[in-house]
Amino acid sequence: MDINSIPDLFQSKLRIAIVSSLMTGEKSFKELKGITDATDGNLSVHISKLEEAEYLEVYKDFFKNKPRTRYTLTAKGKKEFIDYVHALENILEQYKHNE
Amino acid sequence: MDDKTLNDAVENISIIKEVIERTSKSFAAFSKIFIQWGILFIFNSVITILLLNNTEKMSDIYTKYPWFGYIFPAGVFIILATLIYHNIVKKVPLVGLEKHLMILWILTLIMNVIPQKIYVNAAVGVDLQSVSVEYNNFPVVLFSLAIALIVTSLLTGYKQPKYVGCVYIGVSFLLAFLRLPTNGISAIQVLYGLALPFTFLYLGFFLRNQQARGN
Repeated sequence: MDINSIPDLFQSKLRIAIVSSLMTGEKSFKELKGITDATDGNLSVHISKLEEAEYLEVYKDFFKNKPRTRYTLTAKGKKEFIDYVHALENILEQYKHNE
Repeated sequence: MDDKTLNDAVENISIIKEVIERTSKSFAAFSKIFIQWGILFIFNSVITILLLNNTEKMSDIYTKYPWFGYIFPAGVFIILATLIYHNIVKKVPLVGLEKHLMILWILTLIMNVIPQKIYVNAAVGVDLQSVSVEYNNFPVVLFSLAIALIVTSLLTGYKQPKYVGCVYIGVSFLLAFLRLPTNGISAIQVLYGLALPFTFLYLGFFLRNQQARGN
């Protein structure tokens, strides 16, 4: 992945934060909200975009009779994110060489 | 390359780094390993108590095969615990704090597996067959588990393991200064057998519940 082919999904800092947090394991909506400090509505919109792009999967279940939604990264999401981090590293490497 | 691209890259890397550091407090693999080890230690305790209470029958085997004492039951259970660890870590890798906690607990376990050595010196002429040595390291084992629980509590930020650790310290001091009978199935043997599985099951289920609640 080069600088020009970075997916649009990683153009948003909130989506980057969501995917980064899911790299360390599945998270609930409440956890993602705590990590990103985003509002419910904003977080839902960005999660939906990532879900549409098949970057993350949603699990819904009950915990102590309360509905719970959990999110996890898909293999595609993980791969795209790792490629994206490599692209960022390349940008910094290029800058070091050009300096 | 323009400055904007570079600034964005630096900013995004710092976001990723910050989020991963904050979210690496996951105990998925750690709690799974602890629950399975806890169940394994129950079997270990039962077998150990049975062996201790059949010393006459077992002494023949130990005399014929001195290596047997090192392999069974501790050796077998160490191998099984290692297999459980590798099997879980292969599927769910340990991340962040989990790795440090695992090192702490493995060192605590090793500390309790190291064989104790007792030297008995007697003056010439004393009949050594009549010397009876009673040795019990359970208060030390309990104290080491308390230290591991308190450190786990400090690192994870959960208070409950710290309180359990304090109770362990209290019990270990009590046992250290109380002289309880050590022959037959004594209370101390049962406590000894329960301490390790209980600690591992307690911590495993506790961390799993905290994670499930999203705390």
